[in-house]
Amino acid sequence: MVKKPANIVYGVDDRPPVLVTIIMGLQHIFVMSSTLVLPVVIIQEIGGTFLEAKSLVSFSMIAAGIGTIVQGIRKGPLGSGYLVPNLCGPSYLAISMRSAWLGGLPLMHGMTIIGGFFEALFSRVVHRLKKLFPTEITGLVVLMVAVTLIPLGASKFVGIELPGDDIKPNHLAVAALTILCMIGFNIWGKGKAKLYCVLIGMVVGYALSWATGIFSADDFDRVLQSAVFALPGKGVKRFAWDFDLSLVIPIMIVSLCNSLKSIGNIITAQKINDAEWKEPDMKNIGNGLLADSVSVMSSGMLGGVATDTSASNVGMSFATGATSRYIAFTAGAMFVLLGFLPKIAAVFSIMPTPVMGAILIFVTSFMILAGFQIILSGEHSTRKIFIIGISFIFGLSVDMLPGLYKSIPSWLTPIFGSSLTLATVLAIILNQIFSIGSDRERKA
Amino acid sequence: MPIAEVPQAEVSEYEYEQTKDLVQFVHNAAGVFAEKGEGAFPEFRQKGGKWFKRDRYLFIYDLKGTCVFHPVDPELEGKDLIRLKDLDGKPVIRYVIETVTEEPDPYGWVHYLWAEPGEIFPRWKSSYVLRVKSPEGAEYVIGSGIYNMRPERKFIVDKVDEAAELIRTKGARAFEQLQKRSSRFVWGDTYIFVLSMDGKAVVDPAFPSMEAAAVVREGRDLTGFRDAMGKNVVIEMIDKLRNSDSAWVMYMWPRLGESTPSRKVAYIKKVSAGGKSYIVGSDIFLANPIWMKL
Repeated sequence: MVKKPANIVYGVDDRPPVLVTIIMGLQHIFVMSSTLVLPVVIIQEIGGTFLEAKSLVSFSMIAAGIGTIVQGIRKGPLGSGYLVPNLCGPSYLAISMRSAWLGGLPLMHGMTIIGGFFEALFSRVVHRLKKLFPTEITGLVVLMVAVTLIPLGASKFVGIELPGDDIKPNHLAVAALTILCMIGFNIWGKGKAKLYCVLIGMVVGYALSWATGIFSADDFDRVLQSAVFALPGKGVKRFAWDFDLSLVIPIMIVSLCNSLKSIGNIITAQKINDAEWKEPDMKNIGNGLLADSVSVMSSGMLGGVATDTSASNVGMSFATGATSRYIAFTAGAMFVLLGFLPKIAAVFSIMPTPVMGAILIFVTSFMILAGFQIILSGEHSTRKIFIIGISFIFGLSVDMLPGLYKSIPSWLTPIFGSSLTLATVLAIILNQIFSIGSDRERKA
Repeated sequence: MPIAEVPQAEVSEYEYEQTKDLVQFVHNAAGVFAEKGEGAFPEFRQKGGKWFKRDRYLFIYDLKGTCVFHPVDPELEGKDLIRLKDLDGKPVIRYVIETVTEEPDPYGWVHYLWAEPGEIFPRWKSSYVLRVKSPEGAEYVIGSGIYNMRPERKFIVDKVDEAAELIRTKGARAFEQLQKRSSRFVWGDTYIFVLSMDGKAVVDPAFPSMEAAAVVREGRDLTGFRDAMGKNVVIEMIDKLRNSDSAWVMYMWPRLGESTPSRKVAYIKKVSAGGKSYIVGSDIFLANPIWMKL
């Protein structure tokens, strides 16, 4: 039996009261909605229609909801049993855009299914790769997942969307007050106030955004003009899939990179739920990846964009101390329902950017600390210094020196294009190299 | 009331805050000038103030091309600059005046090379200019610009419409004018290209200037052209114009001097002249959100 850490109010198997479960679910779907702009971006890229955008958003929500529920169960090899929600994350964005670009939405959906399928295959062998993922490397993965959230979080926080723009003082002020509110309730709040700190902060942020004119007339129109109830996919060609051989290798690499991120998220969930956590449970991770692959594949089959597991939500569950998987069931069900309720979904998806920025910065803080804790939790060794140090250095170099790796062959771009994947791949390789002779040492 | 004579700024036509800001700025300044006339110059001139901050400043000319107000180079004031040309040979002030006098609207955009305040060498500048009346009833043009501005989709829509009109009225004689670097159709890395409906280059996008076009084989077949992602761009253009008179086409292409591709969008239009149909178009690079990596 795992030991529930002191800061966790509702552990993974606890059943919070119904009202608490609903409010916590609401809190999670707010965060899950924060990336609903990505499917809209894809449609804009390919010059698609408004109906297509609506349909893509609805089906993405339904798929993410299904994924969140499946992740929470523990049925044989399916589901890690943790609160690790799905959202339309950025992992698949570049490849989705590329497929949509080349062959329209049918190709994007087809390749999404293939991507999910690769993850399902990977999930069945990942437990054999335990040697590749010693504790400190999993910690590095968690840390780097947090790092990948920085560009989105920091830019939304200060209100800059395009390079060269000026910082928007009203955005910055709203973001700062929103995060102060969340932090305030998190540090000094007791009971419910601590539990709902993110939601309270968001309500304050919405109100401030309204008062300072950050909400535009377009935002209000979007809510007003959306139907209360609608079957998703109306007026759009549905269930059409295309495949392209030239995209199979790229999508496989993206799928692996996305799996790494999910591994990081599931490890975080394992760690925050176990006061005596020592090392990752790889079997459980495999089951989690299978659940994630179900979400990705159903997104492709239904007609959404590829989902991935949400680091922000895991961070938030840590922040609030409520990690119950019953919250996952509720949030997942609510998200599926929202796929049919465009008006309410619109309220979530017009989230003002400073509020988005505040949430991202807030939850990323927790992920960063969790990453450090996992890295430092094992024994200290000289090997670790170099494995983690070098991987961290070159991983961050991707973000700090854009263009540094632009001459590498294009098939390697998924690895060198992201600090998370480069750091992870380097750490795995260095760990294997530096492990030479370690068995002998141990015996001596 | 003189203020009422300043038209409303149509900011909704623009995508970027930066552009909306500038357009509103010029209209606001025009309102002040229409009310106070030269009395507004001291506040317009104040460095670091509302009207002259960093590299954004106002300029005012009369409709004959005499500079009336220029806070960066006050020695220009009082001089007739109608024949002033930039590095590409563009008669800048003449274009400024034509923009507010010839087009249906008394406002518009001019793109040219000009030095930033305190700099020697010129950079691309896009200025929004607006016709305005002083309290005494004399007509002027007031404007302000942004250096190395992020191009708006509207810029190429306007230029392509203008080019299409020119082709429709002048036929093949228009092509020469479209290619000149001193024309209003070419600035920065933006220019007009013209293709035949079967995808052959008429005004070649790779060799837009006349001199170079003479060197390459005439009517290069561009139907095999693929972008950095493998998309068949010209074929898509032809397809899209089959059912429509104008269209947008996106593709990935590296900026000049860069090796990684960026997102580019072309606005294309079908135009007929002398019994032949052409695709006339222009493209711009799109700005990526700062957080997005492609």
